[in-house]
Amino acid sequence: MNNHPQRDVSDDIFRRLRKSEPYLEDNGFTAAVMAHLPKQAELPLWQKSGLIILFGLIGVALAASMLPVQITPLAPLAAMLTDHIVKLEVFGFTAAATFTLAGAALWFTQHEM
Amino acid sequence: MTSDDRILIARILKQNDQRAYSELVNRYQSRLRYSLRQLTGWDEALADDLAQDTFIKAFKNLASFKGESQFYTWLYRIAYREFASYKRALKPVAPLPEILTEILPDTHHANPMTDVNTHRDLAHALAQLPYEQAASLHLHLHCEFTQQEVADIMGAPLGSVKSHLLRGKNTLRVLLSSWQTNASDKGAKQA
Repeated sequence: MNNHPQRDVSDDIFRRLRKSEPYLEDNGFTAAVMAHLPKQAELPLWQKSGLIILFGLIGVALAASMLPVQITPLAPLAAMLTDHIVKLEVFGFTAAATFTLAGAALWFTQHEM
Repeated sequence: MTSDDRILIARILKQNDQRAYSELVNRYQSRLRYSLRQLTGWDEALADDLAQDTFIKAFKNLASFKGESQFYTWLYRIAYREFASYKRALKPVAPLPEILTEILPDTHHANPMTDVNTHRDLAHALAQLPYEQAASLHLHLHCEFTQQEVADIMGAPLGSVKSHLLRGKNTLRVLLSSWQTNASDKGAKQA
């Protein structure tokens, strides 16, 4: 008399193969995977900060160079605050350019180089 | 997820430590490559290519891994997508009855179930099934994922997985009974 319940033949073969599953030697597989991973350069914090400040200053300088008169990079702000010579649009453009370039610098430091 | 996996993943995400990912790959490469060999009819090169793509995609998307399941389960989800997209790109295989005898091996020895060739033979048999059925059978019966986990891995409803399992078992039963008959006949002739 068979006390065991009827086993499905596929259950049985899978069970037996599971127990005898071979370990596949690495044979360079892991190294091949690692070689294909995207490289990411991690910069120290001081370098990241330096790059952001540098790009910010470049943005200010670029914006100032587009003004109709030769002035220092901080002149637009000073002028607007004193005698309102510089229009608000110019200040806005300066700020937008600065933030755009600073944002680009931030992205640059966090992604592939 | 094991605590070891969690620590390694944190090192990868916070410190961009690729050596930690190397440990993860080394930890799971054998099981994943074996599974893909089972699903590709023991095509070693193809299985390794799919496994490699799986690990690369897993690394790129590691930040999206929330730890709600085992890392191993999440890895299998990616692997299954890779495998399914490969299979969908292929032309349909020949109908089962015409090729049934071709997959039945004549290399059965005294203890066929412990023979390494049996792993290949089962892989060849699974390759004759629709890939959803083969994957369901392998993931549930070999990898011992629950049916719900298999459904999650395959991105399919639980009912579909149950159906795949039932149909897959029925087809495999036909294949394996012919296999056993052939082995018995061969043994009788040799006696």
